[in-house]
Amino acid sequence: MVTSRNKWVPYLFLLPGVLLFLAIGVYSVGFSVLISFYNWSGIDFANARFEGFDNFKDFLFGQSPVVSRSFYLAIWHNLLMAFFQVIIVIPVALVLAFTLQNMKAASYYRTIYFLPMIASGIAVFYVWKGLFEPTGVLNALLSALGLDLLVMQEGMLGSSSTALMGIIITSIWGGLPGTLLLYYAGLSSVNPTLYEAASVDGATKSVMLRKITWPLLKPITLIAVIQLVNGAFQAFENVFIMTGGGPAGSTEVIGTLVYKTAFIDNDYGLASAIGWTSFLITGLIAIFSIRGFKADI
Amino acid sequence: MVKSLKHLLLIAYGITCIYPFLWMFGTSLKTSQDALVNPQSPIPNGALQWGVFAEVWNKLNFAKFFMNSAIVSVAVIVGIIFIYSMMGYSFAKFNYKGKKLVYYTFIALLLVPGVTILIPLYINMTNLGLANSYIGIILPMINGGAPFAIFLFTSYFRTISHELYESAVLDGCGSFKIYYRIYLPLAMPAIGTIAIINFIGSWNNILWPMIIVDTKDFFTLPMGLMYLDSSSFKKWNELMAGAIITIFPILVSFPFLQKMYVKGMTIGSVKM
Repeated sequence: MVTSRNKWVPYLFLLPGVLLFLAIGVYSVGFSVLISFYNWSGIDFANARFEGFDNFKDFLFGQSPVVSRSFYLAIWHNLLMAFFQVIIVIPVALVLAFTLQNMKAASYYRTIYFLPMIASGIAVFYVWKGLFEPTGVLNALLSALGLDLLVMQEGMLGSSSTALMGIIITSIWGGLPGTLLLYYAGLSSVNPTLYEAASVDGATKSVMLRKITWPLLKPITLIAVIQLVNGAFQAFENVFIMTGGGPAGSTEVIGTLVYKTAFIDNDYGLASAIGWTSFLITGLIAIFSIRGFKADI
Repeated sequence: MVKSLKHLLLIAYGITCIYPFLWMFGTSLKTSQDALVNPQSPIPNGALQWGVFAEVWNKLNFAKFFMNSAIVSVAVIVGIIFIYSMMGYSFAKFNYKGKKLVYYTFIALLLVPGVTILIPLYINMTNLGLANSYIGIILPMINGGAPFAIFLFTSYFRTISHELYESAVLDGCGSFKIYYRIYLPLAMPAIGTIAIINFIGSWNNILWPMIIVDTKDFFTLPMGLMYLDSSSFKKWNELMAGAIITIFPILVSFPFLQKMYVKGMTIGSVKM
């Protein structure tokens, strides 16, 4: 670490990034916090009306029952997505990473597993839409397995009882590889002599797992959980393309709710208020998970 | 026995990874009739319809969309690498007032919901006259890539031995020269990871272009694909051909990307 002779040198390196941030980030963040206290339908800010906490009361405390209902429903959907992603992705990724460890063909498998991670985007969301069609692959597979009971007449995304499940499946498909590769990289980075030394000292496998492997995997798990939860709370594109929040609001998430409130209903103030509330929730979750894992970043 | 069970598990997972792509490819080679009647099979009935690709390519101006996507992605990646490697270098190498504040402010941006600041961002860029322009698409995407890039560059520069810096100073190098000539070239693994992540992110981004652009001249590929979806109802073969065109660069480069990505990933996460 250096204390530069010319005091302004380190600041000079920050300049381009900070300027861009001031021009784009600060203005947008500040303005968006501001308008969350206004009633504003866009275009000219002179038409905006200051309303204090009215926007927040509307959706948080049920001042406007319709808005409030869709807000809590959307939060609930985000929570479900986060919950199922974490409890499915983390264990499966761990099992696969342990399986992959020390395999000769590991690099081939890894290349294939990388594919969903980088290609999961709009193009693939359309593919999932096709696979979930009433006459699509998923239903065909279910009936081929003799599980006719589970066949969804309207397709997975077409019925309000299964649509969210469809969205979660695609998120897991896209999110698993990243976590798997993180765990795999973590496992491969352990110096093998560490295990040898431990076994010479008479440590059992479970002791080694607890004392060597887990301490290493803990920070990775933390990162993976935060990434998955944050990803689930910022979900937009997959829902927007596959269901648009429907049917009957059954897959509405904060992202699509904010989008619709702002750009379709033109209620910018309310949309900003909802967005910032979800930011606070995501932030709190991140802080709690860091505390919970007692990891220092 | 254990070994073949392991392979079985890994292959099974591999199939779930690949299957959607097989279906995408197979469906794009079907006739529209076949795609509608037999959507469950990835294998086309009868002759392969390679013509669908040309049809889709010409139906909308996909060549233009492709160019737009390429311009946006390259500019975003280059911008992010230069701007935030400089910041990372400053955070990693110097002691000064306000460093922590700036660092954590930028990292906290990671959690800001993209959709929320979209509204003022849209107003901001429109007021600056940047709606329907490359700059208008690009600048916010660069800013959006800041937290991760800063985090990774800072961590990476910290791992480079400080003696290198000191000997360069003894040789009479100034701070900027040290950054440009020594630290930046050494950061190739970090640059690779950041380039990949932002390539994928900007290539697939629909939300921002969708809002800031409303003329087809500035459509990126994903927007072209959405337009195709809305203009050809239930023509799965056309839609899938469009989808392949959209992610073609990712598909052909992914084994290479994978190598670079895995190299760089270990810096940020494991060495924390």
